[in-house]
Amino acid sequence: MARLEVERVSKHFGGVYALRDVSLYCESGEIVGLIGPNGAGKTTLLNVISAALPVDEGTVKLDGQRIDGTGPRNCALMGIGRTFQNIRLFGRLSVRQNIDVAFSSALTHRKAQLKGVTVDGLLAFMNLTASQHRRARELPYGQQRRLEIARALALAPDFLLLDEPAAGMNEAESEILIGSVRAVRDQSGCGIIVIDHDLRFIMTVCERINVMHMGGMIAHGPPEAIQKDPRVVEVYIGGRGRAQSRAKRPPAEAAAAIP
Amino acid sequence: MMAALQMRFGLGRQSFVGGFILAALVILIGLIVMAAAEKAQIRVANVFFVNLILVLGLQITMGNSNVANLGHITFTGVGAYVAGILVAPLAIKATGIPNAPFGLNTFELHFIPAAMIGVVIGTVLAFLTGLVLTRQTGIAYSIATLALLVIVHTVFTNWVDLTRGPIAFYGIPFKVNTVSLMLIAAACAIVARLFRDSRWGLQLRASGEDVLAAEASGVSVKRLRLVAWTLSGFVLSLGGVMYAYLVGTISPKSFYFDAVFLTLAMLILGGMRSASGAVVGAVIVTLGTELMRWLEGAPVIFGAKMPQIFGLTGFFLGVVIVLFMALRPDGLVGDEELDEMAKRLWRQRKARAAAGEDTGPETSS
Ligand SMILES: Nc1ncnc2c1ncn2[C@@H]1O[C@H](COP(=O)(O)OP(=O)(O)O)[C@@H](O)[C@H]1O
Ligand SMILES: [Mg+2]
Repeated sequence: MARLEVERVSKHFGGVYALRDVSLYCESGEIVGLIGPNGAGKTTLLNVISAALPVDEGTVKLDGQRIDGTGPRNCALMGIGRTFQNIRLFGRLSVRQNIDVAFSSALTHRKAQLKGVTVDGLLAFMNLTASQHRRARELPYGQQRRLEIARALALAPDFLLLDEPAAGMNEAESEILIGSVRAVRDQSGCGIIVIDHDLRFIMTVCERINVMHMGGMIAHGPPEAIQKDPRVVEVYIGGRGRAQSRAKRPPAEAAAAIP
Repeated sequence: MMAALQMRFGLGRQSFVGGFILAALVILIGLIVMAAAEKAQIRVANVFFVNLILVLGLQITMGNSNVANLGHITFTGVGAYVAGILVAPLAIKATGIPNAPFGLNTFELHFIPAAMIGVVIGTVLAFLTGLVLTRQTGIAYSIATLALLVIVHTVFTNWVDLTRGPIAFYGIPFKVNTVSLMLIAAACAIVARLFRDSRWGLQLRASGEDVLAAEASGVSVKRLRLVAWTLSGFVLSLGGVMYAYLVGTISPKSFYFDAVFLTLAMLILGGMRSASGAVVGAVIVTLGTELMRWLEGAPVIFGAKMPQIFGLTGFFLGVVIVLFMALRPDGLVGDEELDEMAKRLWRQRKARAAAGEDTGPETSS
């Protein structure tokens, strides 16, 4: 049983606070959703967790050990796999080689966790076997998203961070994706944090949902509660104009108000 | 055994087959030249093989990590000077470098240990400079490689007691011929190919596509760049030793911008992303520069020097670099090895044929 814990993290870019006193946790076997309007700070939070960015304040801990600021490579080898909102594949390499890159790292550094994971298995699991020899950059969009997930899974991660995996997918594709995300959790037992704008997708697949707005965490709970939460309805699901007026309230205070 | 290699290094059968085909191609060029060519042309071929070794050395680092390298010829110079000074006859040293440091003018070595020491020192220097260089990224890295070239050139030029300074160091015995050069070039082609296809090469190429995604996949970009830089230093200093043994006379000028420029043009034209590209580029640029020389009508003095770049030749190389960078940055060969390309085309043909069969009744009528 592993636990990923983000504690009171802040991060700013110049004058813009992308994260303000944000806390979040995820345990093995959980699928946790992260939603919020554009610019809320969701991607920045994933970047901080995967140590692609250092924090300004606060900590990120994996099983009690601090991992923030240790660099993306260390995080990957510690067992945090991730995808990127703006797909970042190795475009000239083949589909299979993209997975091989991560799998090779795991072979040397995560041998124990790798039990049963194979490149062929990952290709089949993400339905990429037929495309395995194609260059990654030649793939259609949906397959590129799936390949990013397969590559992250090749690390045999304890936690998987997905940044808008269903973006640009059609109904049928995102339906399949829901199944895949669940299957990953069921088979590997890893914890998953997933960002998406497709609320149906998030509500279906997640057991807990965190809602961000303007760098702060404004709500946290099971899907049913989140759907009814007036603050969430206001800033996210509701109209834009009201979201703006509400934003005057400091997010930190809002977060503190949530049990 | 294949399975073990696949497991340990990520090297499959195709990497070996492809590497040997490329090596056979290099050897074939040598055999054709030896069978059919005149003496002057054989000298051109000899210089071509040395250049090919250097281009392959450059490909190992620049082609895989996808960061421009302008200082690679540094190690060629080091290999050439170390081996050249060690192997030069005592009589030559007595007149050439009478005040040589470390008592270098008191002994002469057999050419094989001299070559080995040259390569070892070149490689160790590559490793040590790599420790510093690979801390840089992007443009800073490229500029730092350039600075290395200038620094070592300054040492060659100013350490008069050791190198004779800007004056040519002569009297190095001729110890290589077309056969030995083509065999070593062929071996280097295999090394470059196997490194590219190995687990390390693959991860390095991934980092060349996207550094953050590579790190997030557990790749140690710095360490792999250091490995490539060191291996490249090995090949480049070996090329330097070959050069010294081929022409017998070296000067700091031989290991400076002209050589950097020439080998870069070869690699960029052929395609830096594959060992095949290095070979193709070296062949075509050599043919092109020979043509230019012939057009220039200059007296041909082959063999005595690295091809000097002047007039039309320099213009030609400049145009090659600019045009290819702008229009075809992956070079003639592109991002696959020749055998990979053949395999892909074959697969596509088969796929098309299969698709054609499916719709057979309509299309056959
Ligand atoms: N690298 C960066 N440099 C400057 N500002 C950034 C950077 N990354 C994100 N931001 C800013 O931080 C805020 C949060 O962005 P982001 O985390 O991408 O939001 P989300 O993923 O929720 O849409 C935005 O205002 C964005 O402009
Ligand atoms: Mg985002």
